[in-house]
Amino acid sequence: MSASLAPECNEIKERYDTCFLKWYSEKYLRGNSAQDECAGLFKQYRSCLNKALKEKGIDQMIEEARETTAETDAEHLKR
Amino acid sequence: MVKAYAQEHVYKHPWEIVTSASWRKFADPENKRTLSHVLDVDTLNHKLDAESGKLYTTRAITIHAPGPWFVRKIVGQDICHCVESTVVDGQSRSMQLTTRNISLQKFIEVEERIRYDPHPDNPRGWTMCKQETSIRIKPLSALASMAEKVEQRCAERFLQNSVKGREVMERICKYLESESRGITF
Repeated sequence: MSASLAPECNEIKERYDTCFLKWYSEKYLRGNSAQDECAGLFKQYRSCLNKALKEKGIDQMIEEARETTAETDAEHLKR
Repeated sequence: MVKAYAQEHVYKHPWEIVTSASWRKFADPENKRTLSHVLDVDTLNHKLDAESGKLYTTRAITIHAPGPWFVRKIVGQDICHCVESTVVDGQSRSMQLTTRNISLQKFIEVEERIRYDPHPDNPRGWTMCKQETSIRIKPLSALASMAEKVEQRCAERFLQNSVKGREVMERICKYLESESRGITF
């Protein structure tokens, strides 16, 4: 699995990534995606990551980037 | 000054396999060796829209981007943080990724868009990949006087990385197909 920018989160990240890849191929692509089965793992992983992002000082940068990209992405997918 | 270019590639694999491969691109040791410029990948956000069935994901990607010594002197670092936003529309079978740098923005703006759609000539079996990249050195930055040179160097590096990316994708697609033989989507 790819490394996290927060090494302390690597383990939970790997569990989440594995869950996501399985869910994507076996459920989402077959139209059975009503439940987001990996939500619990993601929550744990994200809270581990939040700490590290803050410490590295890039949490603000990322929030701003996410806000500006959401709209333009929706526009482009319409094409 | 902006350097922009577009590329197209046909994957002779179904859209489901290609998009699954895209999610796996930065994982596993062999791929990591090929795509050694990608240091870290983290999922920041992940949302499934129950009504539209669209999957929205945001990831933070850390890239090792060493420039020539004269760029390194000005920019001061070899690491670039990027954000990749992805929308997968499972119902209409379309996936789009947009990656932008969020650090080094006072020097450079890079945006790369990739789309994966079923190939019009063979929608069940092939996938069309369209990629558009734009590189812009900020006009008032310390790099502005050598903008053209730096943009050219970046473009060359990106093209090299695209080739590696496609290699990795083809490798994963073949692996996924051999795994799923007998299972139809």
